[in-house]
Amino acid sequence: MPNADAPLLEVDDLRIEFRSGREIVRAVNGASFTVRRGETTAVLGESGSGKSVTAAAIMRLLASPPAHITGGRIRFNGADVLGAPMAQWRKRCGRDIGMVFQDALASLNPVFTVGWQIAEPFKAHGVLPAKAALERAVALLGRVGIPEPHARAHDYPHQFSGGMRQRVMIAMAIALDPSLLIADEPTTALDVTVQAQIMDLLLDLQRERHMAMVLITHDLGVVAEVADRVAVMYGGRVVESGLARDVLPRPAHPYTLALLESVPRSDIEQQQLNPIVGSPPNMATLPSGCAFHPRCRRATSECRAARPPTVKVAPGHHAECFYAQQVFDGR
Amino acid sequence: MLAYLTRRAVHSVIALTGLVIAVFFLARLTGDPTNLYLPPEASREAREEFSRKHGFDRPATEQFARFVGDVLDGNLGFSLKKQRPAVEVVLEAYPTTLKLAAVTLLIAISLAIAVGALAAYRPGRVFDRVGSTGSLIGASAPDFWVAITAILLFAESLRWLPTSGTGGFPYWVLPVTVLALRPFGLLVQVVRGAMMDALASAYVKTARAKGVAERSVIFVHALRNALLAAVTVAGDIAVGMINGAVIVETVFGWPGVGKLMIDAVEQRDFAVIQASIMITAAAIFLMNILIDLLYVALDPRIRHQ
Ligand SMILES: Nc1ncnc2c1ncn2[C@@H]1O[C@H](COP(=O)(O)OP(=O)(O)O)[C@@H](O)[C@H]1O
Ligand SMILES: [Mg+2]
Repeated sequence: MPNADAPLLEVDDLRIEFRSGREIVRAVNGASFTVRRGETTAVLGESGSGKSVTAAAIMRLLASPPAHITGGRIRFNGADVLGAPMAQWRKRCGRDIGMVFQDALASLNPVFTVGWQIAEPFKAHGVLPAKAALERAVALLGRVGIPEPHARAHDYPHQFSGGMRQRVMIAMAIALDPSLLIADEPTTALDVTVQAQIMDLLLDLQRERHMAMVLITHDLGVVAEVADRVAVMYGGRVVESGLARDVLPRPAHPYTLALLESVPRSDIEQQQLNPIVGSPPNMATLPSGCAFHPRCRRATSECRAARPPTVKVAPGHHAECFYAQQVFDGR
Repeated sequence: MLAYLTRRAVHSVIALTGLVIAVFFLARLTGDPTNLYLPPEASREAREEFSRKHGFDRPATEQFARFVGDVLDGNLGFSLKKQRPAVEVVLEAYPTTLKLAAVTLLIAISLAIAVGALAAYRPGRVFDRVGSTGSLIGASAPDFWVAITAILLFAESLRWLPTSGTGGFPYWVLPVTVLALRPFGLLVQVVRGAMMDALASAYVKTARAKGVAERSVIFVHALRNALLAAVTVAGDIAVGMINGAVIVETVFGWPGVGKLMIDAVEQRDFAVIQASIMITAAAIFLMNILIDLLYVALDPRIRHQ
């Protein structure tokens, strides 16, 4: 039995590329972060920074080709993920780790009832026979807030609204009480009013079941509210990480700082919004040195020439920048 | 539903009317059947008597009017050759063709699903290359050429199988294989394409993330969706089977409707030609409705529209 303080999930120097024809897209370039039991780790970053690919790699859902994991390690509960035989790893999926995807309509099978799909993990893992599994599915539908779960279990995904479909996805992901839930932008596709409800549901479930959660999101307000830790991704690397209560008020990476200034936040007063200048890097032709340098106000020749070191600005708070300490100190 | 059935029926009746008119007059262009049915030494009176009895002495348009009247009365005419109502002759031949078609379809569909699904699972690998190329050849090879080649090779040269006729298992091998080739080829292509899409879909990722075993991911989650695409070509395949049956039955001496039609053309047995075409058209109509119902049954999104 692994020790209770040991990290639940460790992603260490993960590297993933997509090869198609002559082009190589380096989607993840040495990303590292840790998730502890019962904690919520928010993964932040612009679109294209490698968040979803990292999540898919943890679940081993990347199709190869085109995806190739060229380096790094993932450990779950201390055990190697990437090296395990696929059939054996598959038995952990759903049972120990659940996943909620962004697009619930596409992520639910259109030709099976939601009851059947929620019952499936129980059957696939040999936990319950079909009939009992369906009863559990109905109970889960009720738990995630679907009215009349008995009747709705026999409906198909297209008969639900976007928010209700995401509830179905969540019910499916938590069916077997996993110790980790990975939620990849679970509310991005939803109406603003529904977003908060889904987030509340996720948090309730997390507390109720003592789940750890990797929450991939754009919503910094949500991060400030729910995250224990944050990992900020840029160009396929985690450029800053630490406790949310340390990082958000006092970031040490210019990108995190820019990100915080660029989006509206519900949690703090903002004078004005400053969109980040320039556009996200092309992952097939990443800039040399620090990938953020072409867009960085502080960039110097040093930033172009070499990859910056990981600077520890405070206990458990790291940033990958030559000037991390200055940014952290507000200089 | 009723509106849909009516619309389909109206379309079918219009198409069938055109077809029947064409067949009726084309058949009569092949000549007067009198010479075929009476011996060369038959007297002039006997010939005129035969023509008059069957109405062949009247102008074609008048014959047609009479034919339409009879059809509306439910009378599809009388077989010159068999000296029995044409309907009986045609319906008698049907079970033989249906048996051949059912066995062929069963084999073609199950093989195509297995081959298409496995080819899609590892695209570009040896199995996929062999399966895809083979199915492309199967889908495009002319039935007639394949049938003759098969007879020459397996029946004439190697003498492994009978050339023609009906009977036990050996008699089924060549006709079923030749007839299955095209639907098999077409279905492999369709199933392979649909399976590739399904296997790359988000719902398949979800299934894997739930810990569903790979076998069920392929044969339950992906295949169940890919079958929808297969059903969309079922109508083409059904019509193709009828075309194929005409050739295969003729070449292999299989006493079904296909052979009956060809024989009836040779014998200028007009009523049998017309009756077999009309009954076949009705069968295609029914089949298309069944296919549509199957599609509705398979796709809940359409069911709830
Ligand atoms: N199947 C794929 N083939 C090629 N490139 C891909 C594929 N999936 C993702 N990528 C690339 O990987 C990079 C990271 O993508 P992703 O992880 O989805 O970003 P995000 O942070 O928005 O979730 C992007 O540049 C994207 O274009
Ligand atoms: Mg993403």
